[in-house]
Amino acid sequence: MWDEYQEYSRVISLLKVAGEIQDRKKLQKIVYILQMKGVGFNEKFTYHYYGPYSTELQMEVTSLSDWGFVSETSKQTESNHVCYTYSLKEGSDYENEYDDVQEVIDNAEIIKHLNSIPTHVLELIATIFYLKDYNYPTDENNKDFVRKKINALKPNLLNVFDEAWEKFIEIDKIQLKLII
Amino acid sequence: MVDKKIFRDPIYNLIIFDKKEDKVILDLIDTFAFQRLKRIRQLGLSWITFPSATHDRFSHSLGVAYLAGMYLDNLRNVPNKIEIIDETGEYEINRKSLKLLLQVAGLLHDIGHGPFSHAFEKITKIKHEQISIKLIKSNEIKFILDSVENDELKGNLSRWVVQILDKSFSVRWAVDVISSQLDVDRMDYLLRDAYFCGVKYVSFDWEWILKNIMVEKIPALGGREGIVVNAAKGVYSLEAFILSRYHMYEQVYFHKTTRGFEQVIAKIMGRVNEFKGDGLKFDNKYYEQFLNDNQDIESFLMLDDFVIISQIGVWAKECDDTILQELCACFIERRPFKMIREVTNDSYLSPDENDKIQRFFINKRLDKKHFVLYDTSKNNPYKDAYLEGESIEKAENIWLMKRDGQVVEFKEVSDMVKGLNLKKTYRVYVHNRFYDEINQILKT
Repeated sequence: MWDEYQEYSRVISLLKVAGEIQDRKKLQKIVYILQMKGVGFNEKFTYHYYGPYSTELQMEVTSLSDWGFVSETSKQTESNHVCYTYSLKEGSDYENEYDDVQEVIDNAEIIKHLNSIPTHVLELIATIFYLKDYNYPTDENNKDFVRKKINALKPNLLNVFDEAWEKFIEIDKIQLKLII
Repeated sequence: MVDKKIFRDPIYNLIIFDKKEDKVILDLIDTFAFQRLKRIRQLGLSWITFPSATHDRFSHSLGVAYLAGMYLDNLRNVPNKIEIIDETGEYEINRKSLKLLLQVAGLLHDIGHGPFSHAFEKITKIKHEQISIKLIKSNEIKFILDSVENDELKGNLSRWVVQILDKSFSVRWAVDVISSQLDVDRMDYLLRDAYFCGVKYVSFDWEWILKNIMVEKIPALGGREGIVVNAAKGVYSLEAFILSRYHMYEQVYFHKTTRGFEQVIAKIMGRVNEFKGDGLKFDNKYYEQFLNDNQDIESFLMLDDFVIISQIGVWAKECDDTILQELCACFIERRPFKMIREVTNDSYLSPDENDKIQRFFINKRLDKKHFVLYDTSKNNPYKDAYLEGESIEKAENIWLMKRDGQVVEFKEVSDMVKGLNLKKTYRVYVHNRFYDEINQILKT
């Protein structure tokens, strides 16, 4: 059953496990990949310029920030890009307001792994998961096919395709602890 | 005009297709899957609040196909030959072929919508985009598409329509025509929804916007080509467009009563999904079949607003599950959940208030989740990302070209847009039976 509060609880649990997530794009892609792996995030993602993106997720994070549970800090990078960093706000009462979501807590290892991957590589991995979700062939034998799709979709990221592809295959095979 | 098929339309007056050149469009309109859209309301439950909002996804889809054609007819800087690259090879098509491709994509973009789509998708976890693509790849529609009488599109049309709808098409600006902040889908539904809801102050000059659009490189997006509007000529009509979105959002799409009922439908669908295997009786076997197998497209195609409402009507009278019966009765007898709290930029309820409500339902031996609804704009399918400020992805902007040739984001040339910001509104509703008691508890 869809439960509004659970949607916020999942984001809180994610940040609890990850500690800190640098870059809004990274947070988006982590949640998307977890969703694709069966973790119960319910937000709707659509394909945007930087790959799968959810306005619902962003609004949840912004709301949690407005309510004082999540810290959102920003800084300008060398390439003039604004980078947002997210973490749970110290001293806030999130423990009382939101229960831990066990499915997220139990999968801390993959969350930390995804969080350690550079954002642009994660963007490409998420895009490959998107292709998989839309029934394009993305198994190990179809690397060339996927490369051609990425060439059409994200030619600027072709230079990291091999790295992203290896990581996608590895992540795709990982079995998560899920609530059925 | 015997060689033309003409549809009367309250928004565009006449939508005209050529029987020969647009045969593929007319053949698609005649399919069962497309005709089904006549039984799915565009605005879900808004007719509860706006009685004339009974227009359907069929007329909207026709409107989008029409606008997609107008868009291409007016779009400047379109090359004579458009290069397409995909996994099967490299192709070149002309503008006329691209126009037909986009019209077909526009026609089919909503074909996979279920009844009360947003709630349906949340509960079944099936996206309408994926169902649309499944239908396009199905035998009947794929055959029609790939038999198109156009040498450049024959054998490719179904694949390219899928790529436009799943946004993997290599011509990115073409995808923007169908899906972006300035797309034909949004333009049509704003105009159509305003008309049928009777919201007269919502209006924008779509013809003028289309007269001032072009394909240009957008430096902020790494030089990728996108749809750009002539700032000098188009800024005011664009402002009207954005204001239309704002007003429709506030007045119609996020109307508190409509949203309350939409949440009730979501609760009903959720409860049905929970108990479908426990002896719950379905009058319509296709509803049950689809819930048991959400890949069963044949059953999906038998579902529409009338099927679901009819089933709800039966359950409101006869149902072994009292909670489901009560939720269905709330809907059929128009007994909406009542709003006990509406806040802006603040949390729904304090932890203390949440506790009080929780204890109230525990004392009554009831599960709070069936009788309390939470709603916020993020749940609204018509959420307007453009006005949400920080929730918008940087690349999802409307781009304008200034007189000096610089391509900039809309907010940089429009003071009006800079000033517009949707409030973040949070609402809590309770079943009307408990409204007075809970209200009292929250006051203490």
